[in-house]
Amino acid sequence: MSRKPARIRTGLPAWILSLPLVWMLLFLVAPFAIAAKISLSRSALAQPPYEPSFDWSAGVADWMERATQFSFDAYAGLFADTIYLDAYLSSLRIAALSTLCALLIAYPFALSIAHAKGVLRPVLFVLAVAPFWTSFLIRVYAWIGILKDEGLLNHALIWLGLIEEPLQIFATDIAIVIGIVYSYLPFMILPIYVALEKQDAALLEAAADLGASPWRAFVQVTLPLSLPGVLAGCLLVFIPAVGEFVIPDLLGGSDTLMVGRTMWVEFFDNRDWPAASAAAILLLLVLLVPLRIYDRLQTAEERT
Amino acid sequence: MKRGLTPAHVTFLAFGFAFLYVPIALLILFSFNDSRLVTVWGGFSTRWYASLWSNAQLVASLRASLIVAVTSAAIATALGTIAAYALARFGRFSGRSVFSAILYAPLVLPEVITGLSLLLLFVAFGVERGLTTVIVAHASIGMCFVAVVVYPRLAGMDRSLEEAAMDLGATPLRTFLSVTLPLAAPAIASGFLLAMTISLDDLVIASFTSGPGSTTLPMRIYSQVRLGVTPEVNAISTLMILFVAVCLLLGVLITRRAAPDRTA
Amino acid sequence: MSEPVLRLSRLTKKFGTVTAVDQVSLDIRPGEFFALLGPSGCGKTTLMRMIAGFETPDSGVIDLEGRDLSPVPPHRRPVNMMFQSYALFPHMNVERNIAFGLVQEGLPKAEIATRVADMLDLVQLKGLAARKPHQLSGGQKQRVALARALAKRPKLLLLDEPLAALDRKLREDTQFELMRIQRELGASFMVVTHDQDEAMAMAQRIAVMRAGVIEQIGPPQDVYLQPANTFVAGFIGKINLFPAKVVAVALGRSRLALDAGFEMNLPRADLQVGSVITLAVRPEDLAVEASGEGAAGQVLDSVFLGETSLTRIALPNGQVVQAARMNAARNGAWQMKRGDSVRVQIPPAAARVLAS
Repeated sequence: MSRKPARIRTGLPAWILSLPLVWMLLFLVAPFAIAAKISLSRSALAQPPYEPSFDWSAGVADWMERATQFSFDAYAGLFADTIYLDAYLSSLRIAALSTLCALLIAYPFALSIAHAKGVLRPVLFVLAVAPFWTSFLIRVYAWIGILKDEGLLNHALIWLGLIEEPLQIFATDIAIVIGIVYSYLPFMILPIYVALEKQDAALLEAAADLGASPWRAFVQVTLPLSLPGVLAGCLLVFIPAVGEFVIPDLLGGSDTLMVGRTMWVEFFDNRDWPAASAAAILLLLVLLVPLRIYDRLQTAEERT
Repeated sequence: MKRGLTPAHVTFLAFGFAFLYVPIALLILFSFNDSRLVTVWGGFSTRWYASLWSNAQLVASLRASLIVAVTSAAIATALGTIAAYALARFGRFSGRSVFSAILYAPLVLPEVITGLSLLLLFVAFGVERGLTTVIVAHASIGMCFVAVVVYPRLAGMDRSLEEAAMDLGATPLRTFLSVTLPLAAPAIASGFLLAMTISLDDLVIASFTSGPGSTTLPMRIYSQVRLGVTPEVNAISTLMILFVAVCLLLGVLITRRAAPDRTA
Repeated sequence: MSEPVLRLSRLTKKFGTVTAVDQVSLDIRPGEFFALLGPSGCGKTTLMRMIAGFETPDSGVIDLEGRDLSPVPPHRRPVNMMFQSYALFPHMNVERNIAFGLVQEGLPKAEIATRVADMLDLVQLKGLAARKPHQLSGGQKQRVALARALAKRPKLLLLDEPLAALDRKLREDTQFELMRIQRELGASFMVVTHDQDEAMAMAQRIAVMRAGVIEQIGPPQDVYLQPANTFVAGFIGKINLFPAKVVAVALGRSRLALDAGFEMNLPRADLQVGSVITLAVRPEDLAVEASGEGAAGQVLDSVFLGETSLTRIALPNGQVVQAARMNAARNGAWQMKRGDSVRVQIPPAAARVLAS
């Protein structure tokens, strides 16, 4: 029977219900509008270090007049120098590689947790996502001591006699990938585990009953049913990884190009706010497609 | 899922947990290293912990971080819970999909983007940057996490519980306070913990939105980390890990206590 | 007859293009046990939710003891509801659940305590006051839900499928329990159910509902013995329908030619010659003999149900009818089995002419 609520009777008055909306418009929507606006400003060394292309306090007529002063210099600047283009491409490449590695580690891991019996299963699951709750910064920091040229990994490998000269991992893209995979692994495990855990055990029994080998049952039943979880996990890793700052900054080398770091440098060191804003807006545009997929996935999840 | 672990599963688990926990274990181990060289064991010592307390800057930033975390998490919890309630109780309203998209986006959006645009907002409105701006920034991100945690609980709640309360004479507000809110309490509590953890952990957004004199703990640690690996950083990291472990354990215990009360 | 407690007049509710409740009018009398019976999706739950105030009617009036309820929000209506899911507050114990409505009224503590104790007495749950809902069995939860709804002494208690979540044995005991409580309190009960046995057993009057429309209202016997149409006849119990043509009317009797291949007389003269009618006969009224008059039939199968046996018989025109027979010792040992040839007759007194 269709039962739509006829009158919406909520426990809270409308003005309270609209508070989050107002807050969101103010602090989650308006900032992007302003970033877009500043990306269209001319760079200047004043404080704040940009020369506004228009001023809200000056009224609409003025706004219209000054609108012609919009400058695409900042965007032009992004493409004048290949350093930004390289940074975007390098970020996408590193994020994609990290996402793939995280998936390859997380899937069998999540599958193994989902196979555990009784009380062991939730315990393993909590242990698998627990590192997420500890400081991100600290977890990245932990890898510096391991990956450095004179770090624990090289010590161990030399002591084992596997290598004679220390490996150069620290300050390379490999170190960044390791850092991203390590830091974002819980985000990959969580949705995959949820997708696997809710699968009915009878499905695999039915597949076996109908003659499928365990491997075929996995490929034809378990895997397809877990794909939404896999997709969600990949997006949860990929999107933030593209704009990652801390990991390339701490584990990467001075020549590491990732757009999050480039933006940071542009902003804090070069104090070129329009350039940093333009880079941020462009990054947002680049991420719009995966964000849209992620949003649709969330909405689909909500419906079930 | 068919239950039962094969040797292959055990191998995957061993590898996965080793990958997740060995770096943390090493970090903790070397916080008790007497040697200043972090990669060479020089005997057991707790001297780095003692030296932490004499570091006035560190203590000040810890204080700032705690103020920011508790305040922003409280605001985030209130706003996020209301947002989740609106999403769960208004079946379809115009702009619902936009509303939820804005709510979900900050969960994955690179922090540099969010941090930078929030800073630009504060500058545009001439707001002096300090602890308040960090609190506002963290509350904005935190409310999204709270909403995502609380929403399923509210949406999955048997609507007839609220109807029963009204049927028995409770006003809509009383119904919300005496039925809806207590039933969502475990989710709201974990939302609060999540918002607090995220605030305590955040470096990027805080760096953008804080001003002089409002350096948070991650910012302080970051400036030390950039100078290299030191046992002091290991020590403070160990303390933070310990703190989180205790919180996590408490959280698990709370949910376990609340679990039998769940509505089917 | 005294004034009704509740009077619904031309109540209508649409969901989009679907009319869930269509111009429904009915009265519920003081102290009456009333059942609203219908298949799922017939609009009975929507009707009940409109009375409780959770749905707003598109048109029509809900009148409780002379007062129009439409502007009254659910929490101010003097009716209470027992929810199908029971909707016990999981974070409150039995006592606080039952007291919830009384607390909302702002009654003094002592009075609340007495009324809660009375309620626990009434539903025989003394000693369980401190339990939380998850510590109760299904039957106990049901009683707590009932006690909670009755604690406010509502003029009218609405019960949404009160027995649906109970297993079969418990359901029968609870039927009698509900009837006892209703008698003791003298309140009006309105039960919504899809189970005709439940409605027949408990209610003094039944309203049979289909697709938003009430097809018939009356005491169980009337609804069973004089169904208003084929839907009611088929929904309440089993029925055999025989299409027939009126071939002659004379001397206070009508001669019918049944499609099943035989003719019979009916003791009524108000039928039109040449008209096509439907005769409805309950399985227990159908006369089946090994030989004699009536339609020739073949036994398809026969099921032994304990006190009765139910036999399906194919008639020459392909129609399959059901006949019930008491398995009492005095009825002899004749058991029909598949393939038996039998004669089927309709006793004129047991046949009802239905509008389809």
